[in-house]
Amino acid sequence: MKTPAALLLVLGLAGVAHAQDQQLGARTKAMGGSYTAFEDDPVSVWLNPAGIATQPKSLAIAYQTYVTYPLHEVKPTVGDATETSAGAETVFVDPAIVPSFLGMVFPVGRSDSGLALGVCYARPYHLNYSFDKVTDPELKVFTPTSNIDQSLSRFRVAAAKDFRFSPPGVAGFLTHLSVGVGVDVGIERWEFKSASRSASDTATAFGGGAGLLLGVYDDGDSFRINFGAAWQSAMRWNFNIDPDILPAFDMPQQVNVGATFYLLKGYPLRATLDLQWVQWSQTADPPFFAGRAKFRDVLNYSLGVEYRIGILDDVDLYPRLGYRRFEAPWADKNNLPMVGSYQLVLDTKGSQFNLFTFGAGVGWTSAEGKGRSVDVGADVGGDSWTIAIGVNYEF
Amino acid sequence: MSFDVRWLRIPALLAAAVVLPCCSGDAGKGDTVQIVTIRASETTPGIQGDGASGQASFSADGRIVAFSSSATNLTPNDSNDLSDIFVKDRVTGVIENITNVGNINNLIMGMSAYPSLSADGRYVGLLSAGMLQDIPASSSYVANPPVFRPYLYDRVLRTFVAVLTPGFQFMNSDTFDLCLSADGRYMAFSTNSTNMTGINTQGQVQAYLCDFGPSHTTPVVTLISRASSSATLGSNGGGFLGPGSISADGDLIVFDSAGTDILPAQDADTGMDVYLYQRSTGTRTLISIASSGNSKQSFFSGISGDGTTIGYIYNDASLFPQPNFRSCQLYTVGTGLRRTVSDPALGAQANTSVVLSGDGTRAVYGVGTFGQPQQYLFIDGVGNQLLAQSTDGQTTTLSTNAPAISSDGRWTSWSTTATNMISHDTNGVNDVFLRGPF
Repeated sequence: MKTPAALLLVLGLAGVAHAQDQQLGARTKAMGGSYTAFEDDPVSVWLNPAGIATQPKSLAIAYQTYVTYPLHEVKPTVGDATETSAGAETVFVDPAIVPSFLGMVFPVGRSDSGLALGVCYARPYHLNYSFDKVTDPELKVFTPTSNIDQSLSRFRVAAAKDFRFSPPGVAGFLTHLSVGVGVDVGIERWEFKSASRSASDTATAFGGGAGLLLGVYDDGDSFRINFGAAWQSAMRWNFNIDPDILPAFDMPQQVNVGATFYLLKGYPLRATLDLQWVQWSQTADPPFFAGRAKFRDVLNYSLGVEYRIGILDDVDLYPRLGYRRFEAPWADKNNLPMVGSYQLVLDTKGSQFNLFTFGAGVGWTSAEGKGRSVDVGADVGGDSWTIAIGVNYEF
Repeated sequence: MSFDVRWLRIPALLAAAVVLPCCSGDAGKGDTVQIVTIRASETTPGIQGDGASGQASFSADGRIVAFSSSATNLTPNDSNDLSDIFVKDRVTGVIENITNVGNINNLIMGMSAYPSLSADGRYVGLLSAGMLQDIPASSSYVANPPVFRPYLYDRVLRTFVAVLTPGFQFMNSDTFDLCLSADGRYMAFSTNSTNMTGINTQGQVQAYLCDFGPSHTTPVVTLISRASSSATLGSNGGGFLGPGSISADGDLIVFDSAGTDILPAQDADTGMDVYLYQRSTGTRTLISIASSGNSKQSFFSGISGDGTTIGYIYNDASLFPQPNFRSCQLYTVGTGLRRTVSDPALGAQANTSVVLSGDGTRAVYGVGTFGQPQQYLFIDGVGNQLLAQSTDGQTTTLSTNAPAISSDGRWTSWSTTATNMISHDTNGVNDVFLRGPF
């Protein structure tokens, strides 16, 4: 069994972790982050609650890395003065035993009721940014002197209902519509460090999400299209600290729309297309000084493909590829945003990235006919590479 | 094909319950500010000086600021235990200590004060009791008692040029103020040295102009507060300068004098008045209203960089509007128009100079009780506002002194011992504060 070994590998890695791009799940990461029109993965509890309506009783767990910009002291280039840097790093969360996603789906009623409940824990963002506290608005050369580490998590309870407009397997347009909503309790932990100050705290907030998934067309044999749309609310934390001395972030609101294409006879080929809007502009304090850059809203899009290859009677291999055009929440790497009186200082390659994603999964059917899979995904092309590993378990 | 629409009610209600509060948004807990008060006499990480600082001067755009400080922790290896001149680049945050030269190459460090920057920040005029240039005249240098003498420092070449007497000797008495033209070639200063042989040897404080030449290395000194009857006789009322007494091109210098012999036909009383000296023509012009006994006096003058506007404190000892009522006045060169710009309800203070922006539309002057002035900024077309306040509006009753304004008028400066101008001021000594951008 591969699962325990994979988990042990992940649990052995530790460190702080953070990111600003949300792609929860190994399968979604491998497919460029396209996920809104999925309807066969418990990760949908978080990604698009409408997608759980027709799923069997199942569980998913995923561990993944985040891109971080921690503060480090470096060997001085001149003299013996202390110098610092904030380059990008790939790290797992701390503690490593806490997954990035853990969710379950429970069908309600008869097997064809099209009604399901879902619960999940999701950590889509883990921010770690370095800053320079700025008092002089004329200052243009910055040195990272402080750091904020924020883990943004949500617990969600979701419900979804599928409405069938035509029997399964019958060709036609508008075959079914699933709608889902989730109510979230958010937990946020921040830790601030500078030469003169060290503080940490937690905060809670409430939010939610909603989505729909529409069966646009199905020929019942070799071509099917699903359309999905999902919304995640913002979460406004009460940091209980003077906001002028802490560059902390709320959790952004986001909207996703996407389509999934099932192709070839028996649908072994799946292609996905997604658009994602994230409202970073409303997550942080405005710049203390007029005219300074602030965080911006971003629009990401992604493409992904997955192909099912039967390697044994009950075992399939799923190679996956994807592309993701990802915008950083800053518009100019040479004019990074200011949060309150803190200037963001980090080494970034730019303001938009072309991520190439890849991965694979192995799925099999148990003797009881239950589906299981282990998936891995990774991306390159960002400020740092990231990976994810996940397990899906039908029970 | 149909479905039960009752199923839509629950998600719709849940979605509304979530969406409405979440979209109200309370991000942006802080406020974006237009004008801030900051401390110049600290390092970029916010380490405050461990000694008193004051006397700021700006480059034209306010990017570079020079000040004097006895702090030892603003730059590395500052162990001379003397007041030094520091130059801070506000864009990079780098601070230079230009007078901590070490006792090498026959140089002698001494207390330094009153920096004045050229427009680009390359040249720094300053006073120092040290011997910062190794020259043949070094034999005339006396370290004790310390005497402040003018120097010009080139931040690119890292060299000092001393202003010497016509006999190539160090001046034998203190210099009190100095100011530099925009290109750093001309320096106006006042001193009561008695060894200015060939220029003036009276010993009374007189105003001088030094031309360092195109190379900034060949200083030639001219007496400007002279009696009209002699080219080498200082005025019987002296000549006093402020930190902003020279125009950008170095052609116009304003000075204050109580002399009766500068323009005796226009001003023959002993009251203090403001005069304008023009280098290119050698002429002097009475700017303020001629004194009448002690009833009307004008002093603490400054001139705009473009030479169009002169500001000064005007004291009217008559009973209207009240005895010894002082105001800040601006004089327009050419038209002769004088206007009071200070708030009549507040009056003006008379122990800090008036400094002007390059175009003369902005003036900084002192207001308040004598000995405890508060610096105010006048902006033409806008009015007056208190400068000595923190970013969030806290004020102080303590004295604020040594005003400065950048040529572009965006940045102002003053110094005070008040600890509430910024959040992390705990050193209890005089600091240099900046306020802007206006």
